[in-house]
Amino acid sequence: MFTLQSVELRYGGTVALDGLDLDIKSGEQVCLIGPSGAGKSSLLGLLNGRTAATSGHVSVEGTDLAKLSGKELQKLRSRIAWVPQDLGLVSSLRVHQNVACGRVAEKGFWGLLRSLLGMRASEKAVIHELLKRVGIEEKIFQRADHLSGGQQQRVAIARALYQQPSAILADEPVSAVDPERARDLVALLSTLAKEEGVTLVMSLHDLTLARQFFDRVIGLRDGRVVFDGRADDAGVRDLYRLGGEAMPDPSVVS
Amino acid sequence: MRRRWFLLGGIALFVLGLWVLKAHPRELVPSEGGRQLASDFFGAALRPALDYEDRAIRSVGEPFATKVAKAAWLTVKYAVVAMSLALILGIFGGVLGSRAWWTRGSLFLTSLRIGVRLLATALRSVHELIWAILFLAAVGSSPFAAMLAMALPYGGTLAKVFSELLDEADQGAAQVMQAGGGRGFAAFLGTAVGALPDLLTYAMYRLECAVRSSAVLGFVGVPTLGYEIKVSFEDGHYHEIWTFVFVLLLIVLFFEGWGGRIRRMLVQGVVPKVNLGKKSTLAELWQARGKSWFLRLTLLSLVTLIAVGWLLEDSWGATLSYEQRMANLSRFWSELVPYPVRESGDWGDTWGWFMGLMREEGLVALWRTFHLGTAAALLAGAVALLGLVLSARTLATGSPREVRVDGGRLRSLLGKGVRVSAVLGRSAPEYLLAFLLLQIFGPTMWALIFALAIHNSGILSRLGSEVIDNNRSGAATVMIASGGNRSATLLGALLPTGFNRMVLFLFYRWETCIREATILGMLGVGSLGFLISEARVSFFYDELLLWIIMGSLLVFIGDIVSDLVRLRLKK
Amino acid sequence: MKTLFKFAALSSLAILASCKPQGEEAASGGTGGTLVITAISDEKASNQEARFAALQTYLSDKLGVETEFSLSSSYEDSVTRFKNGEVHLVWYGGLTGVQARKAVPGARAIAQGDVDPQYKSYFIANSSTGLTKSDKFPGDAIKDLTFTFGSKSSTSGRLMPTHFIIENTGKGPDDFFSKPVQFSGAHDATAKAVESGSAQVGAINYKTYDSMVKDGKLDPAKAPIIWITPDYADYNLTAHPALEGMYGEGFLDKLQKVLVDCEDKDVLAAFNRDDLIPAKNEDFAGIEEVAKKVGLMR
Repeated sequence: MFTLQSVELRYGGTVALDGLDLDIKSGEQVCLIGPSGAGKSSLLGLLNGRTAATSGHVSVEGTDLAKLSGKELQKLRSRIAWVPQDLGLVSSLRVHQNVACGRVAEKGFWGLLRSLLGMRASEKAVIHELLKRVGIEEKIFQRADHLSGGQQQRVAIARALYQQPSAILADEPVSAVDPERARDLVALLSTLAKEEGVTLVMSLHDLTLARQFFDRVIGLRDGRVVFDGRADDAGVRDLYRLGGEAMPDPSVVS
Repeated sequence: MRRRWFLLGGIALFVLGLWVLKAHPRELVPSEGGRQLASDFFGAALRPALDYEDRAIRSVGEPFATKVAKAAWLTVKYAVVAMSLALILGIFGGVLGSRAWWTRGSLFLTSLRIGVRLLATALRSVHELIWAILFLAAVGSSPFAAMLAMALPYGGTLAKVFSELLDEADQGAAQVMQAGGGRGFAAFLGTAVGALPDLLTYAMYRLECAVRSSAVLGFVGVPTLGYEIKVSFEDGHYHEIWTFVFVLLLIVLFFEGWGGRIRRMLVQGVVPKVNLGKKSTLAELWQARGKSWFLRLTLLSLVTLIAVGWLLEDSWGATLSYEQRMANLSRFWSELVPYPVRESGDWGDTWGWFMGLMREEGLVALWRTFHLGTAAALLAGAVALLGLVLSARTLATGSPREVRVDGGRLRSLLGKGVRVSAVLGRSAPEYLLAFLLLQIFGPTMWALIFALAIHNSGILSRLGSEVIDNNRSGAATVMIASGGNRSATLLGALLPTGFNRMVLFLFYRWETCIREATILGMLGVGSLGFLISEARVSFFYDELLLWIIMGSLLVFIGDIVSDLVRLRLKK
Repeated sequence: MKTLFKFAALSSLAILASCKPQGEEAASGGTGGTLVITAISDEKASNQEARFAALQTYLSDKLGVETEFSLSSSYEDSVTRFKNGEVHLVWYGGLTGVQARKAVPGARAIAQGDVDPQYKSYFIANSSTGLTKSDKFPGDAIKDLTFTFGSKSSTSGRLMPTHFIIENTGKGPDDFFSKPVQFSGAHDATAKAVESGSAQVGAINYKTYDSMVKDGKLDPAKAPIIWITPDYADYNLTAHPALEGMYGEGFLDKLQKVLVDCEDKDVLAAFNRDDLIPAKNEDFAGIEEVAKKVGLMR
């Protein structure tokens, strides 16, 4: 699904990503791990073409992004859903309206306007079912800013799912939520992605969570991949050694 | 350190202004005649007229109450109709002048944006009174002219503020939508909807201002409340004046309250009363969703008001034929050509004519106008600042910053008093205030300065109080809890953090003060307005146009300066 | 959005509607139409409509034309409307009449009050100034006092007093008076201002002063006359040349005759005069000269 070849990303004088070679297959569930500033967000930005690589190639579904025209890029992006760190919800809109924004690519301006002003009953029903799967169906007609942080996260996830994408890119979707909720949300997203056969690339900075729900963990540090593989015990030790962090009590880790 | 210089500079500028305007402190004490007139005049406030003061007309023509009602209705009608047009201009201008819908920049888009913003600023630089004078002279008296005179500057203001609000709005949702394949304009919908509460709030505020402007247009002949006030004054019927003034204040306060409630509802949203569980059906959930009857009623009444306003006018155009109006218009254009050029046919004479007028009267008037606006703005700021310890709700209580201190009954009473005065001050149009104050102080600049200062201190007091009240700083609580008094807390903990925002507001009002200062001269005391009035009375339309352009240039520059300062302060 | 479309639809409707000629075709070239009367708002403006009702009926009856009275919001408004062809018969002051006739070629002054060729202004002062009536221009006695004119376009309330100030002192009012001059906007307002003392001296139309004293509205002891100006021509009824096109040639002469022949007290009360006599444009040549000298015309 996603292929990076010798990708380098520079912002002015800073090197955000340095010489990355990465291959993520369709349907895979991958977790990006690393401290702040490691390059997780930058990497996610490359995957749907929000940022252009300074050098190297980024290919999605076999096509080099740099070779795509504006329209083609748009078409491609409509198949990739993005859940940013700050969620990007419209606070004054109700949940169902926020979710409807997920299909903006196929609706266009007028379609979206129509959905926002007077949504068809059929669409409301579809969204209701979708919200059941994320567990907040009774909030469907509430204003987004009347929901708790965790509930808002679920709305963002529902919106991403509504898009019916081939891939979901989630940027630290649980950083502002307490550990209990975080577990539930990561579980939810990875389960749903598995069910739908959707490629999932999520960045986290909590290794425990990553280990629990992802088979493949990619560790980033200073813009480089320092670990890529199964997050089993041996791998974890490697990761911690490379990161220089103290290894937690094994009983807690398991 | 910079702040100290800022404050000192402000005081120095104020004193310079007073000197330039020749406003002596001894003029502050009105003459004995002035005092007598003032006491008569303000005494009449206690007994506003309920019927015509001139007994002779009581049985003739329409009853007094009808006259008041008509004037009030027309005031509201022109305001509402003008705002509906201004809203259209504002939406188009706001979108074109913002970059929130761009997917990528281009020279064309950037120049479009800057062009639209400049046009909006230019439209707004001409005061609605002046637009009215121009239209009335050009096409004669017609309701459409009066309405357009307000719609243009208000449209410009709305366009400018809307584009700023859209630029500053949260782009998060739009970015997500673009990342998901949405085209620029569709994604922009996310930003626009997010900014909607702010946009609507500002539009309602403008509507309230429009009611004031509509009343003031009466002073140049549009049949609104201002006209009745002017006529009653010229006939010496003081009780009637107060009737009209009170009615105007009531209407303005109504719109202010309405707008405030709308804002609260939009920002907070409505929480559904019943919390339904997971088993509820879609239909039940839809029924129980939080909806605001107030907002629905508001929308309905506004639409009805606008429709009624547009449709209930039997002669939007003038009563003249098309050919006649065209002839009038072309005659007007020819009268705009500078007089020496008309006589000699040589456009080269324009420069001499221009320099002559500027040297004789123009430059002095510009200088005085600038200082009138600046001195008034500074005074307003000072008054608002001094009253802050009482006007801020979180300070003027027995439990300032939620720390229980003392009884505070007197203090909260005083606080309420300050807030009520502020509301009254900003509800009264500056032009009207100046008109009334001139009777007390005579033809001195003090009347104009105070008129501007009273109105603007009301606004700045409210804005400043909000800054203080919304300040979540714990430092203030700590200071009070450790025994500091409210004033010290204000100075030490609250003002420093809020300083930049307050200066921002001051600059925003300064620019409006310059705009109003240009007009106030029409009441007879030397600013550009005086020259405009003189030119109008003698039908020297070429000079009229020159003074109008000069005044607008001053406001335009002030606008740009204010924008630049605000940009710097925001960083 | 729905609301937006509603606004857009309504506003475009309104704009289109205003492009169509509304009301009667009062164009020069068509025949018929309403004869619109107006007057300057020099005194008792709130009462004008009622006062002119009698004139309206009189002209309607005598000339067989539809008449209408329309309030003008200010002196200059009445002139602008005359220029624009919105009003056809106007009770003007001296200056406004000259302005109107200059702007509309063919306009004729057709009638004036019997006393109007010898009009005058009073300079009045608040009793606290201690000034009394004198035959000489007060000059130095008033130069440091606060002074008010009437309306900026008023002949008796501004133009002629200014002229006499210049004649007697060699300086214009802005230079002569040490304090800035005020404009009260109307003769009633001038009287009130001087009576209360908020202005110490004022220039006022003699007829207004006399009427107010007679009606008990003004106390002459509080605001005595201190100087009477020399005579000049003032008020007049000016007619728009469009009337000839509306009602046929010779209409203006007919109108003149009807006005001059009027004996009805109610009609004449509108002008606060006892009788109307014929007038012609040349009667006011002096006013035009003075206006040009003072700088109010060019």
